Amino acid sequence: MPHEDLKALFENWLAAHGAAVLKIARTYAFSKEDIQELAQEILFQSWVSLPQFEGRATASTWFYRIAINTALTWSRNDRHRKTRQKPLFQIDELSGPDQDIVRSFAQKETVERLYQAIHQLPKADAALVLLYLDNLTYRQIADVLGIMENNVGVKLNRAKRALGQMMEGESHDT
Amino acid sequence: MTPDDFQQAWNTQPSGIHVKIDAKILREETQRFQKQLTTRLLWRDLREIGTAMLLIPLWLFLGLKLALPWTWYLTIPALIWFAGYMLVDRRRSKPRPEEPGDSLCRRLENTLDLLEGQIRLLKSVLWWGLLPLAVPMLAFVGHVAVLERTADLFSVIILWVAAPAIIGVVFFFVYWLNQHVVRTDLIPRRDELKKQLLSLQEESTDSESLTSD
Repeated sequence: MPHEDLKALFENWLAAHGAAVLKIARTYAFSKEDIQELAQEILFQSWVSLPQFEGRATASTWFYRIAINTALTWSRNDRHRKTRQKPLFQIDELSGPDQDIVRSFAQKETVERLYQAIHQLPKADAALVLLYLDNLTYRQIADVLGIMENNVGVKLNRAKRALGQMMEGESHDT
Repeated sequence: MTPDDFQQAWNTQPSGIHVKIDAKILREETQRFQKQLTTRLLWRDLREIGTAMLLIPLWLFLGLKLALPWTWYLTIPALIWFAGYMLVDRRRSKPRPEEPGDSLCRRLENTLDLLEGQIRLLKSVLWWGLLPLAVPMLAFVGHVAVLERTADLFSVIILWVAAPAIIGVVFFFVYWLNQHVVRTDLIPRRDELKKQLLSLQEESTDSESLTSD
């Protein structure tokens, strides 16, 4: 595939699934720097994998798979990445949906606490919760993780319970 | 707050990102990445096997140059065995090639297979790697010691005590290093992966199914 076509396809892809990149990076990395680096790595891995996309899975499933696999194997000290001279992508977050300031502040706080709680979950459970929060269907979650669809509900229930308890615990603490 | 409230809050995050791509840098980086990947795979294969194969001509050269006794050459079949075993093991336990779009379970299974193979190889390194190399080396030292039994006391001590001790210490250190890597790095990583995989693959129980949404 010519380079320009690849670039166009990649840009279309980003328009549809780009928001997930930073969410996944925030799920698996802690500091601002690491989040940026992981987001760069997810984008880069998506880019180099793009020519191998054959359409057997949907584009979103494929994208989430690459992103989660990259995040799970990502290491802060990867030598290959450390030798990069400058960031490959300049990533700017677009603003979220409009809403009133008080409500927006409360939601933002909830999101922060959600990330803190997800960080405490086992990595595979974190992936499950992340996909659920991102509104993927059970079928899509099963495809990304490679598990049976009827197992997703049960696992998700368990993970949601753990998440709820952590959130509850935190709100009592604060 | 219910999980659905969490979902609602989650979706208030920015709904997209704007990514600026420098096509030239990206193309260069992609080429560099692919080159590094090829080099890494080649280097992994060459490291142990290549070292063993390179030692064979060196062994032959030293044997001929210094007119060493025949037991010196016993190490050569041991080196061939070492390289051959590694080669066969690598072919036998060659994992299915990873694809970028593999599901999480598939990726974890692949990595787990790789780790299991590596643990098995290093755990048994004494039997297939270290002993086959140490025995001919000790045989050579023993043979020279017998041939030089009339030499001065210093040479006798070197041949009967110091040389076997040095070989023993070196081989023991290599063995300890291998087992240390297995204990402190490979096994914890394998256990962690197994835990992740099990938590994904375990079947739901009836009671849980009944309580699920």
